[in-house]
Amino acid sequence: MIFSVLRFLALYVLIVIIQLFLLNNIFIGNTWAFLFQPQLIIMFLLFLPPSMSHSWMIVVSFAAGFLFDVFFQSWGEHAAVSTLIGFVRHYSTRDIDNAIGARIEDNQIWTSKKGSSWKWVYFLVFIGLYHLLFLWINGLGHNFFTRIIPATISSTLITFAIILLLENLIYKPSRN
Amino acid sequence: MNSVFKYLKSKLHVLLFLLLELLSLIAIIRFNVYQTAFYYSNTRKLSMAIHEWNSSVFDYFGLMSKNEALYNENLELRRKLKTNYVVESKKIFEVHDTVFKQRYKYFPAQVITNSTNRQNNYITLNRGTSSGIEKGMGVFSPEGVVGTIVEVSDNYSVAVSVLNTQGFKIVPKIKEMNDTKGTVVWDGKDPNYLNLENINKYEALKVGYHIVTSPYSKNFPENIPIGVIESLKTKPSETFYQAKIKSSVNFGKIQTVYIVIDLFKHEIEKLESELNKKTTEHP
Repeated sequence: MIFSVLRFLALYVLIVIIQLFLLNNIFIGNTWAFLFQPQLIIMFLLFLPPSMSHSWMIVVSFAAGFLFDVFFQSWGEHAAVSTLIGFVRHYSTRDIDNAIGARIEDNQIWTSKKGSSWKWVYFLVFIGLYHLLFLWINGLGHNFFTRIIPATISSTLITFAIILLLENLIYKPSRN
Repeated sequence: MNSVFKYLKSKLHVLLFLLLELLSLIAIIRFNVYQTAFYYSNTRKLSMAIHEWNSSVFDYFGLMSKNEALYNENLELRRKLKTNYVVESKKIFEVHDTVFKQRYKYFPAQVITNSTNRQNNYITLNRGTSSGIEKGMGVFSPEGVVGTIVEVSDNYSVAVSVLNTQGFKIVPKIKEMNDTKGTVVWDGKDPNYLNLENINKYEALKVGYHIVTSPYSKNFPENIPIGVIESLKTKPSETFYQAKIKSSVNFGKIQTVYIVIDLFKHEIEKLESELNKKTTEHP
């Protein structure tokens, strides 16, 4: 139990470090900068074990978002979206049994248990939802079709690629 | 009771979710400058719209008294019509060829919010810069002086009420004496009564004298009612009267007002500022 908690804490620290020192320092020019806003915290929310109770999932998601807000001075924006993701995510993963075939002690992750296509949809839907809500709150809905939607699409795809890469680098694949 | 607790326990995750979302939203509104400005400007617009709607509903029920006030004002204007007067022929008469130039213009406005229960009361009106309203313009109702504009937005303005212990003072004229004297202020106690200050106790002031605006009442035309002297007191140790005026306006009921636009104001201010500049340069 303590071991798995420490592993998730380590994952969170790694995500913060990558966001802080890598993603936030990539500059692609003033004109296109709005298209590159990946928020890697969603990886932590997506990887939380499905066996976690709904209430704990919400509390952990809020705490993760709130700490992210503290690091990146976005005061409440990540917390609001993370809490919502924590609340909604439970309904899509509650039927997955975390105990069989994805032992965290063996450095395995449960995300591939329902097959690759399920994982891709699961990742893309929640990454997209996170970015859409975060960018909408951040920009207060201004220029929704000209800036928020394109930024959501591009940032979702970038974050999706980074998460797949990190998942393959950190965890061993696990299937039923 | 037990079943209520059971139900609440079963919905704990929903309550938790709502609570944490609320905390996050408070943090967003409280600590992010852009979001704070957006929130306040939109809630202000919303509250103004609600107040306006609320005011329009009450306006409907107040149509009878408003109608009566308009009728009285109409009557007063009708009395002043030239057709009411007959030319009396005299053997010797003078002709004054006078060119009249308009000095004041009036804008009707609806009261959206109004308070009388504070020490410093303000009135919100549904006219703003888009109607040509500026800070400093006088506001009066058919009954008398109401206040002065202090804040203006595009479509709304806020007037400092006569019932304001800090923001409102006016130099009045005593109608019966035809003399400009003293200052009218509110002491923050009864919204029906105002104080007339700084009038020497040796002046021949009497109860029942009418207090109106004077030529020195900035931002108001002359002879707009302020009130009637209701009581006069003197103390041997004091030089001035303690005069109580019964306000001519019932501040709890004002709905329609007029905003005074002084067409000479900018010219006068320019002249005064030039004089000030000269006196500071060559004292």
